[in-house]
Amino acid sequence: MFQSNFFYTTARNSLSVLFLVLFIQQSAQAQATKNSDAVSEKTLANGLKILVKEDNRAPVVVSQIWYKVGSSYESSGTTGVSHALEHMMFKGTSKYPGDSFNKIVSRNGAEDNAFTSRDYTAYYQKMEKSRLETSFDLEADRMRNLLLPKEDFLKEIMVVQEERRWRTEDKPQSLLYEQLYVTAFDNSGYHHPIIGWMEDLKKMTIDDLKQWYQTYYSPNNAILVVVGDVKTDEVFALAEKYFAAIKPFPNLTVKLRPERKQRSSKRINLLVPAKSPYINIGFKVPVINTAKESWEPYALELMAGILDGGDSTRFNQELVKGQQLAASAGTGYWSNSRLENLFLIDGTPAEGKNIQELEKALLAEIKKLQQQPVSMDELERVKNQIVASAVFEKDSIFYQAMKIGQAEASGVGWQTEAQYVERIRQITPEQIQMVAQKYFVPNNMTVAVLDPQKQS
Amino acid sequence: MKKLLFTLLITVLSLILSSSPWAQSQGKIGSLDLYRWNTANGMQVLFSPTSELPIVDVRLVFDAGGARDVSVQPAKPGLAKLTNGLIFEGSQGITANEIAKTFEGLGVQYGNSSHRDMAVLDLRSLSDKPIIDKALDTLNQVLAKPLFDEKVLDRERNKLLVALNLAEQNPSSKASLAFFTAMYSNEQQQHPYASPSNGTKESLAKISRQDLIDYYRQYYVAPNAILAIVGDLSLERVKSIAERLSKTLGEGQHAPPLPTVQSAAKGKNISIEHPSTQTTIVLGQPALKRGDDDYYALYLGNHVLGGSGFSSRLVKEVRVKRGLTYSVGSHFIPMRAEGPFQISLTTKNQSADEAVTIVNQVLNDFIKSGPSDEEIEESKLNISGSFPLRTASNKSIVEHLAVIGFYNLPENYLDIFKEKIQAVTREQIIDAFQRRVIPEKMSTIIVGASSESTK
Repeated sequence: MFQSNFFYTTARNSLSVLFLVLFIQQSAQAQATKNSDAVSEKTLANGLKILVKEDNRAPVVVSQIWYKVGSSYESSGTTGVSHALEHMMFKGTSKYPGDSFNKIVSRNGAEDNAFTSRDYTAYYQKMEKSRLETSFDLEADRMRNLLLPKEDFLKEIMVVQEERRWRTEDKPQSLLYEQLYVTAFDNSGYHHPIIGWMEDLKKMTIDDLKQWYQTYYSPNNAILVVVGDVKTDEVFALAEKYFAAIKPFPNLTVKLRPERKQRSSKRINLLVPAKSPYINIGFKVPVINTAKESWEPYALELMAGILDGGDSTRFNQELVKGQQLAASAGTGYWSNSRLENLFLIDGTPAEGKNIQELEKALLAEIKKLQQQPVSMDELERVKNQIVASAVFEKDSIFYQAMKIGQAEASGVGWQTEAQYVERIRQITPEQIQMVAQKYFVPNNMTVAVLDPQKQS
Repeated sequence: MKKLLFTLLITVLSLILSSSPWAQSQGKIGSLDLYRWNTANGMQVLFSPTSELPIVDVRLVFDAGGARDVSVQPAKPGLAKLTNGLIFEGSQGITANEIAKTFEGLGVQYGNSSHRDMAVLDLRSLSDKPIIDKALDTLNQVLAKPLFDEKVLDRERNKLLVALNLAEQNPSSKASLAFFTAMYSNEQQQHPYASPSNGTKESLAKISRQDLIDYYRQYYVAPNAILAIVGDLSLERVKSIAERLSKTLGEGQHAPPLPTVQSAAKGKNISIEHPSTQTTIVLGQPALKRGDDDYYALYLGNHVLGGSGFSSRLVKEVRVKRGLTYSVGSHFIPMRAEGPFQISLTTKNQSADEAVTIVNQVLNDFIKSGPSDEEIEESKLNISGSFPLRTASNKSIVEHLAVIGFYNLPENYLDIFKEKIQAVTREQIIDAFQRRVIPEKMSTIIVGASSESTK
């Protein structure tokens, strides 16, 4: 499975990166379980949308506030501003100055962090259930009253630069992934990396952040998601108490920057010190939010599962175990992103095999899907995995909240998200063949190859 | 006198009883019941029933991690990892492909992993009877007689060689490898923890099919296994599931204790050249075993020093005040034998010397003066407040059960931990740090491009 560094967090202690995995989705089957799947929705007069899901298995709750802004909203010259602002959100308000935020959160035993993606910036606290009010108090306060002190910023932007070095500069595979997006997208906001270019980070000012904060951090551009051992009405009342007084900003008109039509296949070779070659191939494909044919993203999800949903799937059977060309091979597709995205294929050659052979073999697997419909047997196996995963994911209140927040922040909506498993069930082998034929063509393709240079 | 003898006899009898089959002890983990017993041929079982989700989590742990690579002569680093990695790759009467298709067709998630102490097999299934029954049938078949096919061994060996290459291009993997060698290898002793669990090019080449078969026969046996199960099953069913699995694994011995670590009087300083923009810094020394009485004081002290993110001194000094790093932290990692105390961080090459100096200042100051009363109070609040999060999912509970079983901790271990932490005093922290963290014994590993540093 393709593990992309999709989020950037302020990382408290662990260097945890949240990986977006395939199939983090709702289950129709799960509705038969004792936990209610019901999401309750309420919108305050100032436009803040609140979504609550009760799960009383343990006396805990997760509260997440999502802002509809991420790196794909940024312009050239100030790339990385969404993520830099995320870091500065922990630096105090007049009510809770300095590191009071961190202190209060810590004293309450909350696990808290934040993450920035291409489509959104989100903040969360996971805690014992009686502490929810503290979380609302803090989040409402920093939605409007952030101080953004310059001297803190000058230190924190250095931290962000260290983060970029750690995440990307010194990791050949991350550099390749970054370069794939740069090459594949010309105009789309997905062109540049979430963390931003080092050159932009070095020139970033506190005023860039202030402007960003004053444009996007408003109740009418935010979603509050709460999942856990709570009573929905009480959450609504508590949200009213803390967030209702925040005045909305004028409604935003976000200029969409659609990607221009690709007219040829693209290819780059990345020459960096490394020990192992690596390949990324991206095909431009629709996502739920952009699809003209609404079934297509679900067919693409299944296509990803057919190629790389586990040990029994094709990449592993054919390329890792059969021909033994790959040490590993995977796919990545995120149907719930905001803009047209890439269907990703990645592979590391087996010892002694070269990257050209592997590239050919990866593309041959695509060709097979174009030429022949998958068997019902194979398709059922992948569907069963998706259905079961949807039940397994209910073991985590955090992921339940994540799914709701992602769907809302990217424009898909939680209701659509809730139909995911049902939509997956309806896909036929012919539909998988159709998306394979339609989108996996040279004019949609970008190939990025890591060509290791001797470490001097 | 007689009475005393009688009491002793009862005690001895009850000890014997408690290790016999079905002698069941019971406790609580979070809000769930915890049952613990041994099967007829000596596999330890820990089970927590919960029916709120139709899920079953199974974790099977063996004392068969990389530390056992040195139990064969000559030592074969990578043997534990390869054995663990080949278990789902075919067994008598079932091919690798059939195993994968069966599990995945049922929607079962399964996996394996190998660490220094533990070798782990995981399985997560829906609890519907036909599904879980078939999943467990398959697991029994997988464990009955793994084939360790020659060709599969070659393929997996090659994959490990690629993994070694990938580790070579990753500064933190390089640093970690050097750190374990520095800590556990000296003139007095080559401790098993010094052995590189992923193997080396040379050691991997020497591992044969017979090595895997022998290793499996020795270590993947009931008395050397712990079965942890959480989920929607009855106690009676888990008892029969456990008996069957335990029979499949068969008789054998528990792995012998690991030798006590004899750390060198002086730590090592090692610099490794790497073409990176950052320098990775790891400092530490062997520190403590699971079950050590100092653990609570060290845990709480470390929470203040570098274990609690933004509240910790290391993050405040290195990241917040100076902007030198994205992440810095310190940890005690209690293991079977003395696991490490470790501080790690990354910073741009030019700041490496400065960062090392500050980290050492913070550490030395902490050893000398300990935390303030306020810091202790804040840390205690954090630990007690966050406690419900530790048992909030089936997955986290099954992980706790496996650790409790593997390290022979009491059933109510989490409650004990919570109470003991609250009772720790400032004096105990200072005393424990001064006895257990010895600056002269600390090794320092530095991986980066030295030409860019300010030396």
